[in-house]
Amino acid sequence: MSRNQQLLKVENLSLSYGSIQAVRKISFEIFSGEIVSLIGSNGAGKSSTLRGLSGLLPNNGLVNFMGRDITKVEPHQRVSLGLVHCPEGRGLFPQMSVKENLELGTFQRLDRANISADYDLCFKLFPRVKERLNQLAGTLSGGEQQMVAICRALLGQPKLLLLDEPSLGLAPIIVAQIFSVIKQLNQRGTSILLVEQNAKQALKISHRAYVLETGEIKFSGTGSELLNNDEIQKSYLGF
Amino acid sequence: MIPESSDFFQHLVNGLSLGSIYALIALGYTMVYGVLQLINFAHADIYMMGAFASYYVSRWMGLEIEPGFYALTMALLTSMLACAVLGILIERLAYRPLRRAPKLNILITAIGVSLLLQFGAQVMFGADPKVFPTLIVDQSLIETPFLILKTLDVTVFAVTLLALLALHYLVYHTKMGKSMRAVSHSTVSASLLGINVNRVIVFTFVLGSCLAGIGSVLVGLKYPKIEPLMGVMIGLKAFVAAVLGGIGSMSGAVLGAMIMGLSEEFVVAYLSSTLRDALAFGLLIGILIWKPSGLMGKNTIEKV
Ligand SMILES: Nc1ncnc2c1ncn2[C@@H]1O[C@H](COP(=O)(O)OP(=O)(O)OP(=O)(O)O)[C@@H](O)[C@H]1O
Ligand SMILES: [Mg+2]
Repeated sequence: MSRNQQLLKVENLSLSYGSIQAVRKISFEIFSGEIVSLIGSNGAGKSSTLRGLSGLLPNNGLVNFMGRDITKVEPHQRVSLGLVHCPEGRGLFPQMSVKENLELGTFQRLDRANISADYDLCFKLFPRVKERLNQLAGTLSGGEQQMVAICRALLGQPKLLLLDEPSLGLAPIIVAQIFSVIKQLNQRGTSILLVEQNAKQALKISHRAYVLETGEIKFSGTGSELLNNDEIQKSYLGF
Repeated sequence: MIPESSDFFQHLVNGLSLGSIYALIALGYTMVYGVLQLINFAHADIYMMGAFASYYVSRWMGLEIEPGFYALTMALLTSMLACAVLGILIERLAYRPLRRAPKLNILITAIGVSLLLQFGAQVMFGADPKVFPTLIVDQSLIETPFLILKTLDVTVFAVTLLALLALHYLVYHTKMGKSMRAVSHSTVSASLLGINVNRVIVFTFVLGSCLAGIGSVLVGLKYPKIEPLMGVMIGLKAFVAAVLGGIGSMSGAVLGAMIMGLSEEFVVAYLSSTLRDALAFGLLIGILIWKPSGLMGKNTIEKV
């Protein structure tokens, strides 16, 4: 798919947990080949937005993925379409081995033949994961768990990868590795919607970004526009 | 009181045999709890329906005329099939529409389905007991001063062992089984990997129901009197066994069932047969006080 083709289009999407409204009529879009960041303070609705996109929260509004209305599509079917969500807290199965965790990411795939090439890519990006294959996921360090979570998402063959705070709580050297992997994946053609507290680093690698505040989009622009915006600097970049 | 050693081994065999049957039923409770956090009160009645299905089909096919491997296999398959179909129907019609409803509503529905099956069976089959056909000739296989091993006990062990091995293979080595373990850890995480949670839930009901179906034939052979309320007490004991082992844990359910079967046998043998059913409640109260998560369970337990 060439760059600049619309991959995801969201219009007036509202999301709520029962009576608690987390996201109010947001609209945004992602073009294929892009890294788009979603930044905002705690409780702004970033994770809720991702949950909406992956179908965990009922979609009130319009969500169009690769030209198809997916508002009524079940979460597991969205994965098969290429919309893969690597959630906040990683969602690993601690009682299962790393190998089994990764395998679970491939079960929905129909193209058996390409799976081993994707494993190779994972192990190239994160050699550490290969060393830990037979260990229980719950016994890994936080950084290793995040690597496994990203690998598992990759094995789902995402066209658009939703990443929720992949750098949370990790040592600077691992954070750098994760950001570098995100860039490499993007260069290989995967589009990425990145949610980050680490706004500065996220904006640096992003083509565009949206700023979410109490469930509404307050700013949008290219990564460098937002990096140089006074108000954003004050509120989110800690200058 | 010092038991005679000859009795001891005999009681051991009987206890393990009883425990095997509890295990087959307890696994259904624990697996369904694992994926849905629901105590499927209708499980024991699915078991009862399996006994009746194999009773009628055995008579219709005349399996009693030639007891043996074929007769046993046909009865087992019939019962498993009937239980599986019933399990699918119950999940689909009673539980799935309530997936997002409060836990209490689902619990009440489960009790309702259980009553429906019990009294529906009384209407369909009559309330009085029926004699389960003899599908295996019970002979002494090994006779020693300590122990008499009979065909039925060996059958119970062999069938249970095969069923547990098959279950282990399914759960640990197939896609469906791995998906089931994933769903029982987290429905959300599983669905984010593209796992069709509804399909896994149906599979779980099928698996649990099939095991209950196997149990019902074994009970029919060992205690050949079946009636519409036959699931109540055994279901309760199997449920206690599942809680004892740690509800949600499959190996826990087997362990709990063996403890349950053995202690029941020994209590009846060496203390008093009036304590037979009290034991289950005693164990339940004891485990809820001392270790509510069960012997092999996780630390959290949902209040029911
Ligand atoms: N499961 C839930 N039930 C009810 N309300 C929720 C739930 N999850 C989130 N919320 C509410 O929705 C709002 C948005 O939460 P969300 O998790 O999307 O924020 P976030 O931007 O991801 O924050 P953070 O940076 O802390 O992860 C918050 O007000 C939160 O309290
Ligand atoms: Mg969040």
